Amino acid sequence: MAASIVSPVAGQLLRCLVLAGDEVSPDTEVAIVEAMKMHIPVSADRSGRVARWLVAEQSLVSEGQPLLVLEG
Amino acid sequence: MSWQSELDEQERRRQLAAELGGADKVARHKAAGKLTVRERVAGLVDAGSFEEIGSTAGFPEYDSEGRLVAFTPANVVCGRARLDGRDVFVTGDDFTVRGGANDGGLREKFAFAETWARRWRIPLVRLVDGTGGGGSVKHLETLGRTYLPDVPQMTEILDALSEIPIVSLGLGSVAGMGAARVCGSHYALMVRGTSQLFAAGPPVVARTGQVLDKEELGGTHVHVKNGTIDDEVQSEAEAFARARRFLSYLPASVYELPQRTPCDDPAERTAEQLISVIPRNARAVYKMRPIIEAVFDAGSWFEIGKAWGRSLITGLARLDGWPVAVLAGDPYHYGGAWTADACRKAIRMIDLAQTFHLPVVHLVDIPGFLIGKDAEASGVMRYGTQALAAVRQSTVPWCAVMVRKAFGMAGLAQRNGSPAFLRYAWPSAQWGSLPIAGGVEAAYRAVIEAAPDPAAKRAEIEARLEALQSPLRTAEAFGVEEIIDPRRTRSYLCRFAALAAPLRTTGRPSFGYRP
Repeated sequence: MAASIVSPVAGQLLRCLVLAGDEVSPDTEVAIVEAMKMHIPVSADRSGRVARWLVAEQSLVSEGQPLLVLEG
Repeated sequence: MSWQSELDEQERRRQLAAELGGADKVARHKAAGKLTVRERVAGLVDAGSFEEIGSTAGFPEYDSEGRLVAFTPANVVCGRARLDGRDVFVTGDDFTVRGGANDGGLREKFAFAETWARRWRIPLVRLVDGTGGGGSVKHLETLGRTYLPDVPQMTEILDALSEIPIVSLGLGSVAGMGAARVCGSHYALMVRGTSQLFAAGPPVVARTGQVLDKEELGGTHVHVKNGTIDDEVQSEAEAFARARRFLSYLPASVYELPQRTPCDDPAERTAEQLISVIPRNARAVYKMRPIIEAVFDAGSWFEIGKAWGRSLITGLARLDGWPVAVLAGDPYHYGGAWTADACRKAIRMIDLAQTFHLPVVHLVDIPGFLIGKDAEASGVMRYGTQALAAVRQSTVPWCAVMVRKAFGMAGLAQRNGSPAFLRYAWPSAQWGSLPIAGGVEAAYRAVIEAAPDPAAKRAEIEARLEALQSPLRTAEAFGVEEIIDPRRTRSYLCRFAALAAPLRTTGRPSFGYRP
C-alpha cells in the first residue's frame, strides 16, 4: 500500500535525506524543511520503501503537502 | 404491615430500567464496538460508588387495571459517584433509547443531571452519546406546532464552566446539543472510530451536496486538529482513565484549591542532560517533551491537545506534589512560533489555570508569531492579541523559564500580569524585539548595498550584533532576573510551587474584555 509523508510545516524543502529505493522506519528523518529560520526534521512516522519524491529541494511546500511516496 | 410490596414494585422497575432500550438495541449498540451507558458508568467510577438518582424515571405503560406492563427508561442515566475517592456527578446518554436524543429523556431529569453538580460544587463527567435536543422532526406532528429553539437551563449549564470542572467524553455520534455538550467542557475527548461529532450529521449535510460518511464528516481525525476536542483516545476505557487523571489535578470547584499529593521525586533532583540539550546551532531544533519530563515530578506530566496548535505544548503536571499548568514551545513546529491555533490553545490552557487556581510554568521558546501569507490568512495577529490579553489578564502565580527564544510581540507571552511572577533564564536563551537575521536587512540596508561586497558586509554586521545577544549582557542590566544552571531547573520550579501555594485564592474567575 502506498502512503505519502507530508510536511508538518509550511516552508522550504531544504534537503532530501533519503533516495528512491531506501528503506525507512518511523524514526528515519527523511527531509529537512526550513521554517521560521529553523531546520525542522521530517520523520517518516512509518516503515516502508521510498518510491519517489514529489517535491524537489529548494521548493516551497505548504503544511500537510505530500513530500514523497512510500510503498510497502 | 410493611411497605415491602411497594419496594418490590420499585425494584421491578429498576430491573426493567436495567434492560435499557431492549435486548435487540443493546446487542446492536455493542456490535458497533460501544459500551452501554451502565457499563460506561461502571467503567468510569470507583467500584460500587455509583448512587443512581432517578433510577426509575421513564415511560411506563399500564393496563386497564393499573398494572405496569412495560417500561422504557429515560435515556439519561445519572447519579453521584466517586472517582479516586473524590465526589463527582456522572450523567450518561443511553443511545439504545431514541438514539440518545433528548426527546427520549425526561426534560426534568436532563435538567437535573446538567445542573446538580454545580449546585453541590463537585465535578461533572458527561458520557455523551446522543443527538440534538429536538430529537426528530417527527416530533412536530406529535406537538402540532413548532417552537423557538431554547434549552431552558442553557445559561446555567454554560455558567457551570466558571464554577466546577466539567469533562465530556464523546462516545458515539454526537450532533446538535450532544455536540455542544462535548465542546462545553474543560476537557473533551472522543474515541477514535466509534465517535463522531458534527453540527448536523451526514443525511442533513448530503442535502448541501456534500456526500460524506459520518467518519469523514466528523471523525476524531477532523476534530483533534482543529481544537474542537482536546484529544482522541483509542478506547472507552482509555477515555475513563484520562477523565480521572485530568480531574486529579483540579479542585472540586473554584471554591476550593488544587490539592497537593505526596511526591517521592526529590525536589532537588538535578538533570545532567539539560546542560547540553539546547543545540548551539541556532537553526537546530531539540525535543521539548523530554525537558518537561525531566523537570516536573516523575510521571506527573499530562499533555492536553497534542494534535493541534502543535508549536505550543500544553498540559498539567506537578511540582513537589503541587498541581500546575504548563506551557512550552515545540521548535519542531514552526520553530515554536505561535500560530493562530497555538494562540487559541494557549488561551484554553490559561483560562483553565485561571479558573481553577493553577500556577503556570512556561518553558519559553517563542521565535514570534508565525509569519507569511498562510499565517496572515489564518488571522494570527487577531488570535495572537487575544492570547496576549488572556496571558496578561491572568493573575495566578507564574514562573517563566527562558529556555531559548523570546522575540517580538509573541515574546510578551513569556509572563502574565501577576505580581507573583518569577523568571529564570537558561544560558541558551536569546531574545529581542526582532531576530537579528531578519532585522539586519531592514535596519542596515543602505550600508549593506553601498559596500563593495554586500554579503560580506551583512555577515560582518550580523556577527557584531550576535556578540551583543548573550543573555549575560541582559542580566548585567537586570533585564532578566537570574540566569540559572539548566540542570537545577527542577529545584527552582519546586520552590516556585511552594511559594505560590499560599497565594492561590478561591472564587469565580473574572476575565476582562479580549480583543
